[in-house]
Order: sequence, then C-alpha cells, then structure tokens
Amino acid sequence: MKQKVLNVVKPIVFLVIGVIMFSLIQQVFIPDEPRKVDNVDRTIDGLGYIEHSTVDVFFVGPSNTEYGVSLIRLYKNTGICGYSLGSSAQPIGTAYWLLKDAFIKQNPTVIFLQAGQLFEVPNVYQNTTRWRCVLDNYPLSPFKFEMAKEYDTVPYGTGIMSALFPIIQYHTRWNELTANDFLSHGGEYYSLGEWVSGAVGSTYTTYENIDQMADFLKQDTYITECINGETTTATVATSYVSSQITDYATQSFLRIKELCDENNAELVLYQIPKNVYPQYGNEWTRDMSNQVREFAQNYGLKFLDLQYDTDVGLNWVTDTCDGGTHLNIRGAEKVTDAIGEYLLNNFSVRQQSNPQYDAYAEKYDKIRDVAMLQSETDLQEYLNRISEKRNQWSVFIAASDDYTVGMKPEVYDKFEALGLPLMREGQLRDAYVGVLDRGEAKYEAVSGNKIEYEANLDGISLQLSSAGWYAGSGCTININGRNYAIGGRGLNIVVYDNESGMVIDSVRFDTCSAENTSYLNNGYSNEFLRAYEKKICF
Amino acid sequence: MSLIELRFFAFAGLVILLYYVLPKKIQWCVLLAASVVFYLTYGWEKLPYLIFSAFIAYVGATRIDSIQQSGESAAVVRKRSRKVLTWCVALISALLVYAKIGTWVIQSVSALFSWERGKTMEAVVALGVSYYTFSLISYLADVYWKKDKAEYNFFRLLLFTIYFPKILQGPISRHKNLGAQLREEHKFSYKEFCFGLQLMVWGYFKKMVIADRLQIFISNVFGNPSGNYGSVLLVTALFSCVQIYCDFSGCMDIVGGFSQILGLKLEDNFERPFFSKSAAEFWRRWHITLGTWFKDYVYMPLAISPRLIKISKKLKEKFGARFAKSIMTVVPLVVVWLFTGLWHNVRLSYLVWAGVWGVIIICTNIFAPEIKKLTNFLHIKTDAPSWKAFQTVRTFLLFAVTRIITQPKDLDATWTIFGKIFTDFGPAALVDGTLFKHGLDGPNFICALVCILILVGVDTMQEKGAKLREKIASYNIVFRWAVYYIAFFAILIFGIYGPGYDAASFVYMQF
Repeated sequence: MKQKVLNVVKPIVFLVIGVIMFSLIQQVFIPDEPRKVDNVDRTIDGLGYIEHSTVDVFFVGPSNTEYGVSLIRLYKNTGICGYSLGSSAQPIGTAYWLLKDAFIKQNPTVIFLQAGQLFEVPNVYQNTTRWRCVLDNYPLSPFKFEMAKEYDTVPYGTGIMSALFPIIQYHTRWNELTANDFLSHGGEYYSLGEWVSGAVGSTYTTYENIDQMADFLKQDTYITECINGETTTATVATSYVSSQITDYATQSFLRIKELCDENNAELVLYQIPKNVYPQYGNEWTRDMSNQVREFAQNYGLKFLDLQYDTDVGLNWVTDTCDGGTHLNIRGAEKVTDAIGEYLLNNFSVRQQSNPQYDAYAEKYDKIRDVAMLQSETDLQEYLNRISEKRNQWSVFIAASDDYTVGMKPEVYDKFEALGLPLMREGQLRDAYVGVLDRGEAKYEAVSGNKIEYEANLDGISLQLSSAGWYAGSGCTININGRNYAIGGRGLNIVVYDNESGMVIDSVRFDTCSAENTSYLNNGYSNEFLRAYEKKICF
Repeated sequence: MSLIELRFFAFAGLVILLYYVLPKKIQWCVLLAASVVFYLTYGWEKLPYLIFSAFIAYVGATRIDSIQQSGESAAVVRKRSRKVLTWCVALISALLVYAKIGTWVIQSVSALFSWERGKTMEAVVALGVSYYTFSLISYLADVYWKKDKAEYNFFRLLLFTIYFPKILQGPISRHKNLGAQLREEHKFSYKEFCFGLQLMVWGYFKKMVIADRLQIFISNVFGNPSGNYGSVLLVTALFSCVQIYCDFSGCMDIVGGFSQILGLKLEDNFERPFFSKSAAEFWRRWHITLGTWFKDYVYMPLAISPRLIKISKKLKEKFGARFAKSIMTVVPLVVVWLFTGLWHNVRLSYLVWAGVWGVIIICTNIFAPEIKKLTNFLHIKTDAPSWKAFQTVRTFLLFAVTRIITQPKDLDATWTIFGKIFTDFGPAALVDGTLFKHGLDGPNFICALVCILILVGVDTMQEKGAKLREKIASYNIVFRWAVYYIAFFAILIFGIYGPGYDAASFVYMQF
C-alpha cells in the first residue's frame, strides 16, 4: 500500500519540481530585448501593483507614448490618476490586450490611443519582436493563452507554443547568457509606465518643416547617371508611400473600441508630436492627421492632435531626446500639461488624492531632478539647478583650453554664489579647477599653468586636472579611477550625488564661445538613469 | 505529426492515459485508433495504400493457412500456397515499387506525351511504405513457412501494420514478435514507464541535440563542397556518420521507449555499430531489422535454393570447391546488396554505395584465407587491443567514405569532395576558426563535440555490458532525479528546435 502511494506521490513531486525549475530557467532565457525594451516589463508588472479602481486615464501607443506623457506630473498638476501602457513600436493588436488586462482591475474613464497606430501594416519587426515584448511579460495564464492564440494568427507570428513557452524561442541564447540574465531586476514602478529621458537630441525642424518635408517627399525625384562618359538625367517616381489608415489596424481599433464601450470608457485618438522620418516609416504628417480626423468623426470619437491642432510649445532643439522621434522629460512635461488641460475641459475625470501616487511622486521627483539637470542646455539654468540641490550634490569643475572669452558676469555671479569666487579671476587661456562638496567649496584654483588636484572626500577618490591653452589644453575629472570629464574647450562639469553615490551628470559648456554652447553626454544619461532609479527606488 | 513536435507529446500522453485507463481488452483498439489518427496527420490520401497492403497480406495469410489446413497432399499444398504467396508478395511489392519510382514514371511518361500537368505530378507515397511492406512480406513468408500463425482478425493485422511508433522508420517488426504482443493485455508497470521514458529522453537527446546540430554544419558544408577545404569536408563526413547514427538510433530509442511504456518490446535496430571491427559486423549491428530481414527472406532462400545448389555442384566439378563456394556466397550477397541499395533509394549514388559495401563484404568473404595468411605473415596479433582499435577506426572511416557517396546531393558533389580531400586538404582550416563559419559558431561546435563525447561514453559503457538504466535506478532518489532533470533540460536548452529552425525530419523517414 505504502509503495502504491509512493508511486503516485513521487511522479507528482517530480513534476512539481520540474515545473518550478522550468519556469525559473525559462525566465533566465527570456532576453532583455525585447522583454525589457523601454521598460515595458515594468509597465506591465507595475500595473498589477496599482490599487484597484484608481486609474482614470490610460494612454496606449508606441514608444513615444512612454516618453511623451508624464503621469506623475499629470497627477500633481490635476489630481488625475493616469497610467501609460506604451511599448516600443507597439502593434495595435497588443494595445487591445494591454487594455483588456487593464480593465480587469481598473475602471478608467478615458482611454487615449495613439492615432499613428491606425496606419500600421503587418510587418516582421512589429509582429515578431514587438508583439513578443508585450506577450513575454505576461505569466502563463488563461489570459496569456487567449493572447497567444491571437498571436498565432498574426502575420509573421512565431506560433502559439513559443508564445506560451518562450524558452522554445529563446533557448538558443544559452551561449550568450551573462550574469545579468540570472539576476532579478525587481520593479521600479514609480514612473507609471513613463520612460524618463534626460537626453537631448536636437533637431532644427518646425511643424511647418515637417509638413513641407512630407509634401516634398510625395513628389517625383530624379536620377542622374553617367554611362560611358555620357550624363543623363531622368525623372523617377518617389519611393515614399503616403500612409493610409489600414484595414488591418482598423480591425484591431474596432476591437479596442468595443472593449472600451463594454467598460464604459471613452476612447480618444491622440497624437504626440514627432518629426518625420520616412526612411523608418515613422511619421506624423498633416495628411495623416486629416485622415484620422475624418476617421474619428465617423466613429464619433474625439481626436487630440498635439502636433497640428494644439500647440504645446515644443522646442525641437531642447525637448526631444533623439531628433524628434521621442520626447525627453522637457517635451513630455509640455505635452502632459496640454493633455491635463484637455482632460479637465472635456471630461469629468476624478481629481483625487492618491497615497500610492504620492509615494511614487517622491521617487519620481528625484529622477526628474536628475533628468532635468542632464537635459539642461543653458549654463545659468544649469547652475540654478545645482544651487537648488547644493546640499545634496557635489560638483567638480575643470577647464580646458580657455573658459573665459564667452563668460558672462552673471554666470560668474552664480559661481560665486555657489562658493567659487576665484573663477572670475581667470585670464585668457588659463586653467581652472573647482571642487564643491555638498555646498562647501573644498578647493578652487586658477592658473596659467596646469593645475592638478587630488583629494579623498568621504571615500571618493578624486583627481582633477586642468590645462589652459598655454599649458597644452586638456582636463580630467577622475572619480574612483574613472574619468567623467567630456573634455574639450570651456568648463567641464561633473555632478555627483552623495546620497546614491553616483555621478549623475557630466557636461561641458563652451564658455569660450559667446553662446556658451552645451555638450551633453547623452549616452551616459540614458545608461545612467536606469541605474540611478534602482538606487533611488530600493 | 513528427516525433519531435510538442503536439506529439500531448498525443503520446493521451494515448498512454487511455491505454491504461480503458479496459485492457480494448488496449489494441486504442492503439489502432491512435495509429490511424497519427497516420492521418500526414494526409488521408496515404492511408488507403497501407490498408490495401494490409488487406492483401490478410487475405494471403489466411488463404495460405486454410490451404495448409486443407489436408491435401504436401506437394499440392506447397504449390497452391506458394502461388498465393507469390501473388501477394508481388502485389505488396508492386505498391512499394510504385512508391519508389511512381513519381519518376509519371513525370517521364508525361514528358514523353507532352502532358504538362503530369510533368509536375507526384505519386502518393504511403508513409512508412518501405517498413510496413517488409513487415507484411515477412508475415506472409512466416505463415507460408509455418513459423507464424495467420491472423484472422483483419484489424489486428492492420494494427501490426500501422502501429504508429514504428510506422515512420521502423524497426521492421516481425508479426510473430509484435503481433503477439499487441494481442496481449498489458498492466501498467512503474518501472517500465520510467525506463521507457528514460530511453525516450536519450533518443531525443541524440536526435535534437546532436543530430540536428550536426545537420546544420553538414548541410552548410556539403551544400557547397567546392567552396571548402578537404579537411573541412573530411570533418563533415565524420560528423555525417555521427549525425545519421544519432538521427536513426535516436528515433529508435524514442519509439522503443514509448513502446516500453505501453508494455511492448520492439526489436533492437542498433547495437553500437561504431564499435564494429569489420564491414560485415557493422551491418549486423546497424539497422539490424533490415539486415536480418534480407538475411531471412532474401539471402537464405537464395543460398539454399535448389537451383543455386545445382549450379554450385556443376561449378565445383568444373572449377573446384573454392570457386563454387565463392559463387554460393557471391550470388546471394550481390542480390541482397542490390536490393539494399534500391530499398534506400532508386538513385545512382545509392547503387554505387551498395556496390561499394557489397564488394567489400564479398571480397572479405572470398579472400578470407588470404587475409588470414597476410596477417600471419605480418605477425599481426589479432587479439591485441591496438589491432582491434585499428579495425574499429578502419570500419568507421569506411562508413564515412560511403557517407560521402550518399550524403551530398549527387555523385558530382561526391567526386568533388573526394578530389578536395586528396588535392586541397588545407589542414590550417581545422585550427584557424574556419570550422566555426559553417552554421555552428564556436560554442555550438564545442557543444556538439561535448555531446558526441557523452554519446561515446554511454555507448562504451553499454558495449562493456553496463545496463545504464538499471544502474541509475540503483542510486538514491536525489541522484536519479538530478540525472533526469539534467537530461531533460539539456534537451530543452541545447536542442535544435523552435522558430527559425526548420526541424529536420528523421533521415530514414524518406526511405
């Protein structure tokens, strides 16, 4: 009898252990790209942590939804609780499932769907990696099964079994696994689906330019060829195809609309501004805007075009992180303010005080402070931001070549106010070093020769050097052995956050030029914020 | 439905469940229904061919049996039953021939009469036709020779014919073995279940981790033989031997393991052939059921046929005993190897391949006394380990050479490969990273080598008589389970499957 029981129990225990091991191993094999691209994992996981029936507004759409709407700002300014369900190059088919998941625990009033998604055509990129970046973040469940069943019917989809058991797709990664794959990343849910960017990728376009560009691209172009010494020019049809709302996307749209209707939520089509990149099939033109307007009217929907209908005051030079495809925190705040106003004017949305959002806001503000600093291109404003956090941050400055020619008296005043009066004494092509430790000036020097400074500040091993033009030009700001200075003419500034123990920004202002042109370290900004928020949130 | 598809696992699980949950009396019905369903997943149009073949065998065997029971004189019985046997075998064989050359005939005739549609038409080839045809012929012959009893329940004979684990690529079962087992009732055995599962896992490891991984490399290199150095082509030929062994024996382990779970014992098809010391031994250990089939139903009937014995006697008188004996050996072997080549494929390369093996085995037989004299003359100690190792390596290399005949797409490619090996060897390609540029990167290449080492280790232990499954079962539960989990996850992680991979079919399915 005992043996018979054992014969039943043993296989069950064996299977249970096997299933646990299987799910753990499967998690290891799912790669960051696509699952964690633009923090979509946090977006989906984070929604589960939001208290039931608290979110009134959802934003659905591709990555510029993640970058372009600041939910904490919306909450702080209007009391409206929102959540962004954006994901990289989001296929409109996944928007339906993200919303369906959202409706399980939330009763939102308004759903914003990015209008650009109506122009989606089935393509390999979106229907493989971008579908998967949503799908792979859901645990095995009846919900995921339904989603996987639909994925099985999507053109270029990789099949239901690999959708349900991602290891089928990703097991070949065994030879590229790193320690990072075995670590639990936890969740930093403070941003409510927003991807905060402190990078600046300027573009010198205007709305009119975007429009003109789209019109220009519709025209036929030419080809000039030289064959055996004979040159000919011929007209060739443009390769640019004007986007049209597709039946493929409309089918998903109708399902989304039906879902919203069933849940008594109003669906709004909206569009976050973006530059035109026809080569990537990524654009928002006036023609598309007109199509959506008509489309929205046909379905009795509101349409909020923040590019052509509403001027949010976007500055294409400072408010985008990558030349206009995505907005940085500055652009996001402008867009959010416009959306907030639109919501208050057009909907009776709850304006509430939410303790969970308040707690998230505390963390968010720390990230925002850094992102605003990183994206600051004006030297005086930059110094103002440092001044606000002078007791928390340490600032290390080293000049190279020359820092004096374009320097304005009011900038010297600000440095002096920070505790660095000697800077003003510098002559043409002098070297300069300044060290501020949480508001206290530890060291300052100006010289015609090279300056070298070494110190140990509360465990930080610090080495600074500065050389003006006469001394060979150059500067370094070494913190714990790593040089953070961008290098080059003017003032090189590195800001260190003593609370997190991290360098939060590195920038160069060419104070030799009259414009005090800023040179930001965008690569560092992008990489840094993700690491910084982990420190802040845990 | 392939054996390496996920839906097969679900299907197999369901079959096992129904097989043991439903009354034992209808176990064979469960298997018959499952086999038909399995077969239908490859297309309904193939099924009538199989049913027709089984029906011919059913009618033939019962008719032979009734003639044998008729009480007529032995000569009349023999004459009448032989007539039935001949007709039935001819009809069943005709379906096999149709499967082998039907497409070629249709397209050639269409080309002759300029019938456009026919030029691209393909004959319907019943799944597993080469295997079940031989099984049915052996069944008919065994009934004729009274080695087996005729099956009077057509559906039981149909189950023997279509039994789904073996239908894809054998083994070529004998009715007196499998048919009898399928008639019995089987009680669930936990031990058989575990052992069967272990065998299946080992089979999947060989197929998915080793064979399919090597296949990527082989396809890449043999797909463009002129673009590769001889050294790379030689490595590929060696890999090709391991690949086909893992592919075929892996499948045998899977179907054998599954059958074991059901309480059925299929015939062994492999006995670690790469440990063979001669060509003859190799073919006794490789695709055993095909070899024994040819031995029992082609070689022996020919060797002891009165006509051949008569001719042999005449030759003996004229040319001496040794010559006559040689002819007695050569004739059946030539026929066997001709059929072996044709069974594999009606392609020139397979005829050349069969010819090479046939000549080697015939020469080994005929010149056995000279070979013995030569070894004595050279003072070779035939029982020395070094000599045995040499023989083993020699046999393996011989197999590799013959793989170069059949593995590339045609004989032109074969000659190119041989030419490259002898004229453009390029040994540096073995160490300069060239090997990692043919579909398998460094880690995958090393993975393949490590897995081959594991295979060699396991086969060596088995060759020395170790019973690994019993050995594992004798260890404590922690060790046992660790082995099972490692094996399972090794396949899961290192297996070649999933999107982006066109899961390679089992090689022997095409035959």
